[in-house]
Amino acid sequence: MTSTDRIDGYASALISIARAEGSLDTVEDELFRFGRTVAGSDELRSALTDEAIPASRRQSIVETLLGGKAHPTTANLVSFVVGAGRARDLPAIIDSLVTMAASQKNKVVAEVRTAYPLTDDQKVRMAAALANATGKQVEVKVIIDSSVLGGVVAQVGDTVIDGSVRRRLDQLKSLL
Amino acid sequence: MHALVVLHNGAVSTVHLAPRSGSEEVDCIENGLKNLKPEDTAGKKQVLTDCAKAPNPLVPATNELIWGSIGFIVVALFVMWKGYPAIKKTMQARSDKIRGDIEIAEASKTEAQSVLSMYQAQLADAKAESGRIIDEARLQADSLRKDLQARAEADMLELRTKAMADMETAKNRAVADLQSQVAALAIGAAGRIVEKNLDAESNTRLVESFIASVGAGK
Repeated sequence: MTSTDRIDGYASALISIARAEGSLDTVEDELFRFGRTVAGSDELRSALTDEAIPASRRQSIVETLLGGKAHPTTANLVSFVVGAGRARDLPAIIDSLVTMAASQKNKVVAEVRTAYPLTDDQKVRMAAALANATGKQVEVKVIIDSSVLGGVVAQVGDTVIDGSVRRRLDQLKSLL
Repeated sequence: MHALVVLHNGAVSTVHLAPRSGSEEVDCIENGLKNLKPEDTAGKKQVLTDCAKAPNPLVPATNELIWGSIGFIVVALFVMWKGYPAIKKTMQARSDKIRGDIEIAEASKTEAQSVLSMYQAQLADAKAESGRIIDEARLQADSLRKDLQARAEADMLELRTKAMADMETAKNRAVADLQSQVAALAIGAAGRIVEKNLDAESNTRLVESFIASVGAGK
């Protein structure tokens, strides 16, 4: 079994559990944000993937981070993956889960980076705008990224639409 | 025939002699003895003494002269008859041989001169050829020197041009690097200013602007 098959298997399992719990959308969104947090933090990623740390200890770290802040199913699923020794694959599993969930809705994932959180209304209008631009129904996933400075960077598949302040500054730099 | 009176131990005797060329001596003795008495021995001795004279080695006796001449003439004629042709033949052979030798020598001399001329011509040709080779080598050396000089000048010019180009490139690169650094510093400063001053409200305006532009297909 290849690593891709393993990752897809885990993602499929997590979707099934979340759907069974009736909290797929919430769990999917929380897993997505947690996955981005783990990917962006070397310290957290190292703590969750260090084989020298007992699995129970790593699971307690997850419970500390997500307990009371996320849906219990989310915390349980993350704890399960960490306990199974697949914490290193957690970001990939979550990406696969999000993609599968979106495809089940006949949508594609639109990764939207912004310096400040979007309101629900902005998310809905953002999805409509990106659907108009790409011709595909999108599932907006918001990532808080301070490097954007301001504005939005949206990626749908291989298409990137950059409306960030960072990009404008870079363009200005290229002109100098 | 003449007689010669010889004194031998004081005795006078008469010896008959063959005719000789010294007839004056005989005449002298006869004349001297005419006037002497037969018993005048001293006188006779004196006459003999006076009339005795050594034979002239240069002037032989007449009969001798005549007979000698005749004999000489006979011998000479015989020699001329027999010897002259032989001598002539020998002389002719000798002269022919000499002439032949001279001709051979002349021919050898001619051949030697011909060979000498040929060698001289070859020597002249060799000298001319050596001179030509030297001239040709000199021309080649000059040509090579000029080529080397031209090549050195071209290399020097190329090096100088390349050095100038490298300097220009380095200068341009330094200017570009400086511009890049200045731009990076300026953008960095601008970014920090924007980050400091960009609030949620400003960001909301940016998000709304993005949604509007993307939705409109811009």
